[in-house]
Amino acid sequence: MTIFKRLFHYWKLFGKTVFHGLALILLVFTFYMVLTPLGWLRRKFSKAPVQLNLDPEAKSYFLTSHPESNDSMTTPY
Amino acid sequence: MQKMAVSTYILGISCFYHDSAASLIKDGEVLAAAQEERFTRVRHDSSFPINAIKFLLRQANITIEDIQIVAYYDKPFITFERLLESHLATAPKGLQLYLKTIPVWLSRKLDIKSEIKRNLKSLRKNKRSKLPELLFSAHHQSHAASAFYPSPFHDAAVLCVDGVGEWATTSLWQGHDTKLTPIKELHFPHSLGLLYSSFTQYLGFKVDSGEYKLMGLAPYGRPKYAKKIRDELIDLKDDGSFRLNMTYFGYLESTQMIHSKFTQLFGQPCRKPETRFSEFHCDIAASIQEVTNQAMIRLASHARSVTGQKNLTLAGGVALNCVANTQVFQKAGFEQVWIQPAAGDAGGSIGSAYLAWHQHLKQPMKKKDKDQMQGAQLGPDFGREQIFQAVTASNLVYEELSDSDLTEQVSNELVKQSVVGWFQGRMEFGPRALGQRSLLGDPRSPSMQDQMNLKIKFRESFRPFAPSVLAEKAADFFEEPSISPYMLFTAKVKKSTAAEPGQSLNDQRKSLTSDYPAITHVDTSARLQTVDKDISPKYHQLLESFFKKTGCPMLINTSFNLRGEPIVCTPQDAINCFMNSNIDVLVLENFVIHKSRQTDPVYHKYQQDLAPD
Ligand SMILES: [Fe+2]
Repeated sequence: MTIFKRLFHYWKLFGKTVFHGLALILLVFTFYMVLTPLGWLRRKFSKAPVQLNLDPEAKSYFLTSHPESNDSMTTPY
Repeated sequence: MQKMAVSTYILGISCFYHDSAASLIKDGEVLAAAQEERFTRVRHDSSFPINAIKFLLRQANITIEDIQIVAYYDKPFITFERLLESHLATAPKGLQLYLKTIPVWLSRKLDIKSEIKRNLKSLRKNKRSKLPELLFSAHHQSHAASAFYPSPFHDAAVLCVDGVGEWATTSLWQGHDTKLTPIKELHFPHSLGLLYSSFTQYLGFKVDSGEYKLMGLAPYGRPKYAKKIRDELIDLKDDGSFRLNMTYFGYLESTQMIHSKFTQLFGQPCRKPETRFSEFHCDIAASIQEVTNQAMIRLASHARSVTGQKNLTLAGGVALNCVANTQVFQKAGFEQVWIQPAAGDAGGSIGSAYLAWHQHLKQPMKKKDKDQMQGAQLGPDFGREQIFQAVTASNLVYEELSDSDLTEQVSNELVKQSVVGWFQGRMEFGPRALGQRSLLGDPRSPSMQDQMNLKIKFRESFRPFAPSVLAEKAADFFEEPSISPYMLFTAKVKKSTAAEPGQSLNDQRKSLTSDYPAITHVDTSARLQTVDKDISPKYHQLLESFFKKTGCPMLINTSFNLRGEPIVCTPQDAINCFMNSNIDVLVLENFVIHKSRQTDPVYHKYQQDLAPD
């Protein structure tokens, strides 16, 4: 019985390692193969919401706020 | 027959980022609020505030089934969008940060609805009962609501400045009756809070908790680098809007606040924690404080000209910077400035609950003539029986006194230079101890600062303590003090002269002249708390009694906790703190416990440890 228990323990450990390994590969893959090219396109062709440039000539950096809609509290977005 | 009116209970929650907290409002009035850290004893605990919620339910004598609405203080999907957009803006840089944050978000933070529901379900008595409706308010909207709705004003300008919420880092609002209208905002990564935190890290303090140390270091220095900061790091416009030069900062794509380019700019590496402070460190602190003051004054002045209001309310983590607040009060042209005492994210829970009441349920504003935070006394209190049990279970020798005998005896002890642990009424909501869970001492004593730091808090500190002062006497002892019930403003101590910056910290403290050295900073300022008779009658009585004996209407007030611990919550926490330090007298409501009278040797351990000096 104990030998099965031990085997099962190693099997679980193996499974966990594989799971974490796969997850890591998937994350790294999405970062370089999806996010990076998308980011490049975003910067090239659209006005990205993350603005990194300074504008010494501008009088203000303020953005105009948009009032929330009446039922805005019902959603997490 | 008339239908019985049922009260509406709304539970506000803030968690998963910084200090988690929960607040309860009943028919539009704040009943109770508390931070989770006080219950779990884990400082800045950001986990779901299940213990704080249990307390709220106990306090109101209701169950989770009686709550109609649960309001969460942030919009998690928008925050996640901001994270993704930040990666899009910086990829291929930022893999490490991506690997650190994205899995947590995908597995837990994004599906906050289930996370909250799962926790609420665990509180149900009846497994079949319906859960309350779940609402979400935007982060800065929650801050703005926490600043405006509980303020004493029906009309005000509202300014929120913090690290970051979803996108907004700074926002400007107009409050009128129940309407809270957003006007202008600034977005991530351009953030005054994160700029200040970057310098906090540069000077070797912990980000998100060491900011007040940076503020405390500033008076020792000269703002020599303010121009450099303005020229290189932040482009600050006349209207207070700004952008940061992100080539110096790391937080957009890494786990570090600053890049090596930042340290090169100032020519010195990051200060290592716990090492000595040089003149350079003090000057850096003075410089970033100066720039922060300038930005806050401009933002507030702009808020005044845009809204035309004569009252201002503030919230967001930066509003805990009492030096900047004082500059705003003195220079931005408002008649009155009110600041939410829990200005950080903990206070977002109150704001979110208020929004559910006024904006979602469209309930009218009750007439108000004073602030609704009740002196921040919104946490748990403990009855005679509970204290008696805790005291006897710990084998303590005690006396139980009447109110008048109590203040008489305790003020005598304070005159005799005793350090008093003062535990009264309901625990404070927000980061400051305000006379409910405070350590008290005599501010006239030149050695009291060191004594309290070394023997009780077990730390060395360059920061003077804060004074509590009788509100009606404040003007006799401080230059132009503002009404400061929440310790969020500073004022100059009268008849004191400042030290000259440039010398060592110790020499500066020695060359300062003040009748109240323990509470006077080297620039003669003090972070005062004005104590009102209506709000804190017993504490007021103690201060009065001390004043009659000494002519000094103030006491040192520092938070009742040891180094690295959250402020005490229960009588047992207070007893533990008393046992593990050299507090001379512990006062739990009307129970007085003298260290010297204890027969159990366990209470004398620390006195022996520290005896030689
Ligand atoms: Fe915030």
